[in-house]
Amino acid sequence: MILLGGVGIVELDPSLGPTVLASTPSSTGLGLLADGTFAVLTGSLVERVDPANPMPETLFDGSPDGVTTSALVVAPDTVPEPEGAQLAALLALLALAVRRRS
Amino acid sequence: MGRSRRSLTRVRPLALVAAIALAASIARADGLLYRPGDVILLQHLARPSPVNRIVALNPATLAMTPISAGQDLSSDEVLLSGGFDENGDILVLISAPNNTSSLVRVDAQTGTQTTMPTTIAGGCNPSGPLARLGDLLYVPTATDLLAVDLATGDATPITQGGFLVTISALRSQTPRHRCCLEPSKAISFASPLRRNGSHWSPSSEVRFQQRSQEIRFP
Repeated sequence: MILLGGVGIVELDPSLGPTVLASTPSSTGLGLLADGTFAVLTGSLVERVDPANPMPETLFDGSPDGVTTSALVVAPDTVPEPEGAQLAALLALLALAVRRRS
Repeated sequence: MGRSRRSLTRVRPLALVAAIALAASIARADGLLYRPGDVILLQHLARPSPVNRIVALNPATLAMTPISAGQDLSSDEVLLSGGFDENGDILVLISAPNNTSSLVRVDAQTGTQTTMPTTIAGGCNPSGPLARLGDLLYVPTATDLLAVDLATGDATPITQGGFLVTISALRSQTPRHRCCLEPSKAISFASPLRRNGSHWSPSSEVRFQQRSQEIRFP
């Protein structure tokens, strides 16, 4: 399991103990992105942190404009999207609903 | 001509109702102010005039979509933490006067805000995202997972003897009464409690599974 600890992003395996995945001191917010990287909140800065890459990518920096981010959450990936399968199902249902007599 | 055309068609009510429901679902998803996987930021703007706002950040394109535009929250309040309910609407826990906290629901399609009628006695100091399941709001703190009864505002720690974690991905997910964690996510508690009416008591029926990425609530 992944924690946001005082030193940064920590993976805690009950049998192996903690492993620091990325050093993000003073961070106050953490979310898992769809690509497996992390969104990390530190002050006014929101960064993408990839444990495999030592250089974080800035997603948003509010300091020049006086914007402070107090918390972040990642939108669930389970929100239904109008995918092709859904549209196809809709068309099939409509065809079934209004069926021409032969 | 019209009469003969009507005679050639037959409407199946059940299929029509299903089609309408599916169309409504598609329309709702298409009208969301955020996309799945967006990072929802709770922000305080210092200028030109102090205001709180909520925006969605697309981590792939860095595009920002205002969610609370035109209806920004009062700058007098502090946005403590956020989460989602079963409908995808955004929940924001804010600090309120008199050592209380209150919950605001932000419609994911319109940005319209609704303040929940009850305040949380004693306030909350969340350490991670919120999750709402039915009439309960789950709030992780530095020492406990709180279950807040949204009808009464009562906050009950439902963990005993756990160790301190920051939950980074607790979120609600259908079906109801089930809460999933994203892969390899953060939660660990020693003795979760079970809700029985208005009381909480130790029970083995509530399982917090660290490795299976899933926890179940009563």
